[in-house]
Amino acid sequence: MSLKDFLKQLNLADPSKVKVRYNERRNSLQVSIDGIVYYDIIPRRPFPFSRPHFIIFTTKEGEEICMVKDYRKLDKKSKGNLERILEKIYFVPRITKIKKIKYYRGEHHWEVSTNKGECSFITRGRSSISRLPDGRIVLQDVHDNVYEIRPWELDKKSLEKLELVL
Amino acid sequence: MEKAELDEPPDSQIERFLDKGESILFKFKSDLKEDGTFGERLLVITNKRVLTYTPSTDHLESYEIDKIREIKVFDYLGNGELELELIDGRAISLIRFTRVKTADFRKAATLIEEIAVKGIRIEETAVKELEAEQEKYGKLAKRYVMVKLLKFLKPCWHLGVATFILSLLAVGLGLVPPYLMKILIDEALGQNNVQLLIQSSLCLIGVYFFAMVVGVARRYLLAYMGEKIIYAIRTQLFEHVQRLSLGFHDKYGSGRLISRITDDTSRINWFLTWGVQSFIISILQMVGIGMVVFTMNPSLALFALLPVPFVFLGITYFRKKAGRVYHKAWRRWADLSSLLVDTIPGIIVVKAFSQEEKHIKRFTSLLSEVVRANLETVKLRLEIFPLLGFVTSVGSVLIWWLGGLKVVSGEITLGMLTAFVSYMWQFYGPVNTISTLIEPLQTAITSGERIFELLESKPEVEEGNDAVDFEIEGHIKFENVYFGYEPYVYVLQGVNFEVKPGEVVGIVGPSGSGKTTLTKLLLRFYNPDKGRILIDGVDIRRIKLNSLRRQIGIVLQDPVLFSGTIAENISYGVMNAEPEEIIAAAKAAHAHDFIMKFPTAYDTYVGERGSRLSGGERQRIAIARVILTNPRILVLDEATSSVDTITERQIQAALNNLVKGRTTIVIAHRLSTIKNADKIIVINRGQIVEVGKHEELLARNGLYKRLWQAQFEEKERAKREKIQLA
Repeated sequence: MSLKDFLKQLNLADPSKVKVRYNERRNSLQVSIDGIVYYDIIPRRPFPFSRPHFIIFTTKEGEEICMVKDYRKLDKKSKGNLERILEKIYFVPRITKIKKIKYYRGEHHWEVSTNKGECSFITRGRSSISRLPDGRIVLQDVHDNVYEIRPWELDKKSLEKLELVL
Repeated sequence: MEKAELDEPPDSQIERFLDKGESILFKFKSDLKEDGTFGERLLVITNKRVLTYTPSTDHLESYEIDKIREIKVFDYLGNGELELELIDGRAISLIRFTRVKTADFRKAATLIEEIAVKGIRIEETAVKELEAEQEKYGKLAKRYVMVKLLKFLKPCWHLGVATFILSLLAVGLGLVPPYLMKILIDEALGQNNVQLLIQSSLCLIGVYFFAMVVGVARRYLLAYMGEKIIYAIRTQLFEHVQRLSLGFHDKYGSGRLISRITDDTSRINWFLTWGVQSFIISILQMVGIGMVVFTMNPSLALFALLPVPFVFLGITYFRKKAGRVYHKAWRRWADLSSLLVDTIPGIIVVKAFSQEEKHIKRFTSLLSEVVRANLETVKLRLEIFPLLGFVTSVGSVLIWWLGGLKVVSGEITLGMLTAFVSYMWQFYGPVNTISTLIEPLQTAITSGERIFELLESKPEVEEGNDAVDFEIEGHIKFENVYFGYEPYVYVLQGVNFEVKPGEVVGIVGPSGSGKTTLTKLLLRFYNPDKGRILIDGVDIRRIKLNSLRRQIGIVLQDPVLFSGTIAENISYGVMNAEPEEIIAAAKAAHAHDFIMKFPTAYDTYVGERGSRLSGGERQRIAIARVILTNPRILVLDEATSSVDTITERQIQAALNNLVKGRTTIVIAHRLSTIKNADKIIVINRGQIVEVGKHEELLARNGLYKRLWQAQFEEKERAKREKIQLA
């Protein structure tokens, strides 16, 4: 089978036909596609960093309902509802200032300010720091929490500290 | 490869044994005589006979070509033998040779086989080709390497000139202070001239300052130039290595290639910048100082320079010996660390067999050897340097003594004597530099040789000018294909088969039978030695390499992933793949579900060579990668052999998705995977022995049946054993 056949099976939805509502009682989404309504839906990002606007809707059990290539093309209300839950599922604080990076026994101890407030965390080894093609940097700490850095948004002193660990 | 000396000994030695109309085709020289002692023996192939001749004993043996039934090569320990089997059934030990000559005599055997057994007529051109091939392995002359190395300086010659001028300035400035010293002592102090004292002191400060500025500028320029040169060499090397054929990579091994790009280039960089410059500067300094002291006072100059030859010889001696001693110390240290690398990760086995004592003993004994080797290096230093120090000190005392006498007699001034002594001390700088330069200079030249060997080797697989770019439909045909990784040692011998578009063909055979080699030839990683491979009726040598390889997908037994994200690895073969295409490919490869389990899904980093994924996961990503490129022809090389049964089933499902509608060649170890193939080709020792469908082959009672039974029995036995355990 060629790639085209596999693409047909993907269930890629037309964003204009997808409506997303937030179901407060169930703490999940209610998605209607072409008039058919699915309850208890959760969005997943297959490419959380490289293509954050690509969404797969699944049930809470993980069964895939459909995919939207760019959720920014949804209507405004749907987009807002979706973003509300995405904010929770993908908690990736963006580091705005690096106060201190201390190296101790193979671990880096970070003290930073983020768009979600002050925090400190520990990373281990170079593999916990990855650079995305667009220049962003993603940190994964020892507990698998994830932080994002946009180096061009940092002040000079923070950058100097960052350079030392890259 | 050892170069076979074709020219000697003179042909006349053998020619006297030749009949009329008989001419020499090939000659090979062995290093073992018929009695098994070292010595020269010749194997000569003519158009009528095969002769062996030992010059020292004048012993000749000859066999008619049409009496030879077979020729065999035997590899023994430390030597090998060619054996002739004659038509009358006699087996004759034709010639023996040490392993140095193995490649030559394999070639000889092939040639004898072709001429005598197969009756192929050898053309003159073949002889020329053989010579040309041997020519290729000739070494580059050292002089040549130097010139070539210096050519790398050409693009930044202006920088070179600038640093050279700065170097001259530095040398000149170095000569000034002792002279000013002389003025200071004789004219300022000697004549109580305070004005002159201040002037010359300021002058000295000025000179030292200027020397510092020149030194900094020179060092920076040198480093800058070095970086520029090494950048050029490394990019050139890397580009070249990427383009070279797989055969070259096989021959070199990745470790050696990497070290050429990193270590060898660093050494050359050092040579081109510091090496050349310090050599020139040191010579200039020696000449400059020599001239100054000889014009000042020739007889005193002679005394001053008396210790120089001793110092030079001493340092050269040290260098020479130090190389050996330090290398020994380094070897001992390497032994020790390899012991650590062995025992610490293997601690579970050490403990299980309670062998701690044994390892501790080995460690202490190795450690004491390290200590001994280290002490040896210290001893060597103590042997030479204190003595050299003493000699030079005595030299300077002699100058004070003899010079002092001259000062007392009024022949020279006190200032001049002081200047003399300080010039003498300055002289040892360049002497030391030159003697320490010799050894690194040699290693730089060796590095240069290695780099040029790499740069000058041409890809064996080259694209012809008339190569075409076309859409493959998927018809494959091997026509009488011969191939060997080493010349004349064939891995494939006369392979013929055909695959129709959309067919699935399984290739089976014992390991080492040449299965993987088939696929490597199809992708044109190598060219067949003889015969040809056709795709849709076109010789693959006439298809553009890019076009060919893009349309053939390959899934290897041990898939290679690159460090990067899963998405990047899946879209490796395609520029700008759409995200939904990546997902579709992953789904088809049964990889989507496990990928989505990672919190960062497709943006998850796979680690170096995919180390953060399991074998089965890597395998499925490799399959997705191939699905995305949508190839017309598919090669699956034992894709399921390294995983457990459940993963195998998933991979098999993924592969079934992939195979539909494509010409597929499956190389399988587990015969169950190819049971349903349209055609199964059984290969043994580089030759096709059976072709047919599964049932047909089973009915035939041949190699396939034996392989099948072996696997079947193994499974049955495993089952039985499981039951017994239960």
